[in-house]
Amino acid sequence: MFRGRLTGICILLIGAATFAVLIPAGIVVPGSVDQLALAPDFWPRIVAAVIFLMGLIMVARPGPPAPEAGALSWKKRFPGLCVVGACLFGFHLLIPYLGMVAGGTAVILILMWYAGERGLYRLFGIALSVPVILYLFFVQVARIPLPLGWFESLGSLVYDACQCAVV
Amino acid sequence: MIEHIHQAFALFLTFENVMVVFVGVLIGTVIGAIPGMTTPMGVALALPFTFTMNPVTGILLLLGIYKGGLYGGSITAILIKAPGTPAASCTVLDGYPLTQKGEARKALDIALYASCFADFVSNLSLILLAGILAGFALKFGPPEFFTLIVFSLTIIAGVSGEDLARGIVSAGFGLLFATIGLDMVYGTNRFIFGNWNLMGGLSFIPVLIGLFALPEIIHYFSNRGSSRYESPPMIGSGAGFAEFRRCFKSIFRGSLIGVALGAIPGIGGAPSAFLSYSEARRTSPNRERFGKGELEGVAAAEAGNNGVAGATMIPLLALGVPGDVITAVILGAFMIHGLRPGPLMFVENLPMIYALFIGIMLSSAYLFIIGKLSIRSVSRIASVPNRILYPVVLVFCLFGSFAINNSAFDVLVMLLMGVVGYLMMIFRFPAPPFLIAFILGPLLEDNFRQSMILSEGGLGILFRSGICWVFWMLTLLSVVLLVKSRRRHIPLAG
Repeated sequence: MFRGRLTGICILLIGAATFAVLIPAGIVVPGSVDQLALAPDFWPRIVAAVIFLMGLIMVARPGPPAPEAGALSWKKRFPGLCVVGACLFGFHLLIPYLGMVAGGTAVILILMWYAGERGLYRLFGIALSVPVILYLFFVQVARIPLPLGWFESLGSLVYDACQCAVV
Repeated sequence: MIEHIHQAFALFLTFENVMVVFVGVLIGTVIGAIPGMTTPMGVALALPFTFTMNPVTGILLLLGIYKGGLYGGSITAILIKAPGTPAASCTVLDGYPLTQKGEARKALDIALYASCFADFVSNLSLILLAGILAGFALKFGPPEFFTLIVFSLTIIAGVSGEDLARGIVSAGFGLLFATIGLDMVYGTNRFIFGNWNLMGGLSFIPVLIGLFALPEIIHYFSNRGSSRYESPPMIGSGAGFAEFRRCFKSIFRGSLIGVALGAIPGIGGAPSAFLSYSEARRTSPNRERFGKGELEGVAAAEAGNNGVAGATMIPLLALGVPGDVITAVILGAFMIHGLRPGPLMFVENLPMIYALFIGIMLSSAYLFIIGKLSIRSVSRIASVPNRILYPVVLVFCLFGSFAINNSAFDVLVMLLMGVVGYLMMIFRFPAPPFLIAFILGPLLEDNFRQSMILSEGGLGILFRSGICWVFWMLTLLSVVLLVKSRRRHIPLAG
């Protein structure tokens, strides 16, 4: 029940902060607005007010308690969250350098290894084949270019080889 | 009329036409099943291939892809909680829990049966009721759309689980996130904070994938070592006629909801799927099992989703008005072939219209065949160990998000929405209300503001027609029933 009330207080604060700080800072309201209902901040303010109200209700009536069985503490979840977070956000940051294929390979390798896969053939087989197949599907079939980063020239060589083979 | 039908059969019955519908449904099913690949994308990619085809063949290919895509999204929604299409996000609610319980095959089967039946009903409505439904759709102006969407938002109560307040908060965040971008009336910035990538708002697919697929995967890795998450579930046996009969009422109602909403331009499959689901849950004797793996939930969601398929063609063919992005592409295909959909087409090209109808009916049969053939092999995905499946699905999502606009920013949106979705999962805020509000929010606000412009600020315009009153009454009824059911403390799924 305490957790429920705490969540309600957080929601209440988010609603208030959105109404009082985020909306004035984030929405440009022109001076020529003649109808309140047409103002760009009218609708977001209503939504923020509803969120605030729901926060109040959650504080007053916290709702049913969360099931505790099987729930891990944040301390125990932390390593896994760090690994998956580092992989995903690292992938995003390294797209211009590693490209989609190498980045995807790294993500699969790291996460499969972390999850307990130890068969090297399966590990490298899946990590190498899945991103390449996806790349070929999007580029060749869907005609959507995908970056290869440092491996752009290698990709061009492979692409030219495929084209020659087809011809 | 007999002569027109005879000419239509002569137009349609070629090997090329019969095969192209099959190929279209197959391609659409595959595209719909891949998270990040959208059906509009598939239809748009296929459009250039239709330039050299004759009009009937080309348009049937695009329609086949459309129909296959509507069903295909449910496959990954059920098996790996990664909906391939927005409407399939409703199928996740009961489809994925069924997979976790070892009944993946049953869920896939009932999704297929519901999809095919709803598709058939939708096609019939197109053929028999195009004129009537088109006339009905024409009566919708901004006030009518606004009241319809207000009513549609009440479905949030049906997917909020045990705590309605949390559901409303989740919907509130969805509405807020949907306001990011440029203001529709004044063109000013809303929550852009100097980042030009946000001027067009958040792309829908990264939000969808981030909200539904990523939290499950993050949860798995944060709980690594828990044996509960490693044992792959059994696929289970399929669904037979008994299960179909049990779910028939929800399937039929969902089909009709899909037809009604599909005929109205701009609504789409997602609201229809959620409304059908919500109604099924409200009237089902097993409502406490909804959200925990109830076949009727899957059936209702898929029926609502596929019920729009034929109906979205009604405004296109009868009025020349595309109802969504896909029918807009199909309108382009018509125009490329020198045809102009609308009332005149029913006079000048009636045999061609009938030929399209024949092809559309055949697509329902192909959908069933392709679905049945693929289920046996596709359902094996559920037996792949999670330590292999989840990293592969993650890379699918990363590629798919990037490919939408060829932008790394969409990947970032997906990742951030994954964090939001994970926190929502931990603190028990349901994700479906967020998604519904994200889809409907812009429509709600835009139609409200258009109404205010028309009426110069007067709220009376929102009560101007019988249609408005009907939806206000339905909304009131929905709220009253909700309050009554909460008072009776009927355990609600969540």
